[in-house]
Amino acid sequence: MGERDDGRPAGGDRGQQELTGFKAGFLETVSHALRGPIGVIISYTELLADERDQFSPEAAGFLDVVRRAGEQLDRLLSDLVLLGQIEAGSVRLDLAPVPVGELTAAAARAARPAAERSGITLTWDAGTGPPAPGDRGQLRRMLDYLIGNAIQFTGNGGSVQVTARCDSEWQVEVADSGIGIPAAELAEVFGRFYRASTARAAGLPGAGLGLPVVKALAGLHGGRVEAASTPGDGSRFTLCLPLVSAGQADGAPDPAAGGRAR
Amino acid sequence: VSVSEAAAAGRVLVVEDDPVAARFVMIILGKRAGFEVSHATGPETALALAESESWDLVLTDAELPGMSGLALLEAFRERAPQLPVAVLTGHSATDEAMQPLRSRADDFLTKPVRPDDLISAVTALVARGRAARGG
Repeated sequence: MGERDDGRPAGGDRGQQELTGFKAGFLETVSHALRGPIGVIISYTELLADERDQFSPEAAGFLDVVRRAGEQLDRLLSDLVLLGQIEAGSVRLDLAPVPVGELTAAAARAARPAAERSGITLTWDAGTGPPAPGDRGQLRRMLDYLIGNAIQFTGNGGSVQVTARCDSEWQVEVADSGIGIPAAELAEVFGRFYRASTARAAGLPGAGLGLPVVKALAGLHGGRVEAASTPGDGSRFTLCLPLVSAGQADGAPDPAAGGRAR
Repeated sequence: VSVSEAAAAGRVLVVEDDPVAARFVMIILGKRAGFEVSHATGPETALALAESESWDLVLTDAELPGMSGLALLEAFRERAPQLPVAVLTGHSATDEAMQPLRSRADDFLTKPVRPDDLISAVTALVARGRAARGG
């Protein structure tokens, strides 16, 4: 170990780059092969859900279990692939002007049924402002993850408040009244596979990939994500997105101007 | 939904070699959303159909036997320049290798696609295509 066949030391920048490139390619290939059957599970449970009224309540419950498990697998896979791509520097965003306020309201609206099922009051207040350059799908993913986390870590009777404001940049804040994160762990929650002690103690599921994905995507957008929390009192995550993309500042072509798509 | 109503909603050509994936898309777009949907399993039949009949949208897989997704997209553009072409693929949207296809396609959807997302994307593309053709 530590040496290659030719006797030269292993590693170095190039070796490392090749390895991360290989990992990203491997992940993409594996994920593509897995996504087919996972997609079939999700799609066809979706079709079965249309026939829900023909099922017993118990069978309808089984269907929900299968669907949630399928969605969990799909998300896990997407997260692993994205983090692999980011590590290899091979991730590409599809930048276009995105109305962040509208997107925030849409994400919150979509999360409301899940919040209601958990007995949580979800409210949102989306302000107006100029669109931010971003990849709409990936911005939505960040919002879904932050709001989903807030719901997951807030108990029955709690609340989640989503606020989007635009000043010199867009700031989307997701505040919950949940279990919170100890101060010493706050910086760690953006690390891969890290799970806060409060989450583990509460027996809440999760792979610890959601926040690393949000942080990485925020960075790719030239933005950032910040966390604040009081254990027992709740957490607040703030996603900050600049109004001008890093590419535009460099004199790169306006992403909104080119291309046929969108 | 009657045949003429479906045609009014839009004629969509689905190109997909996997019968299970194709069936899902056909049910969602046909039964649920009321589009008139036809299915081609490979590039050759799809291109022939694109030329011989009029469509509001082509929704194609990116990994078909015999032709790359990008080559197929260019072939559609050549034969029917006004026809919107959307891609539905099992690759990740952020995959570098998918970017040429993504930037050339009218829309880029990833599997598994949610039924509501599929319907709203197809509805928007059909409307946009019709507006562009002035009809």
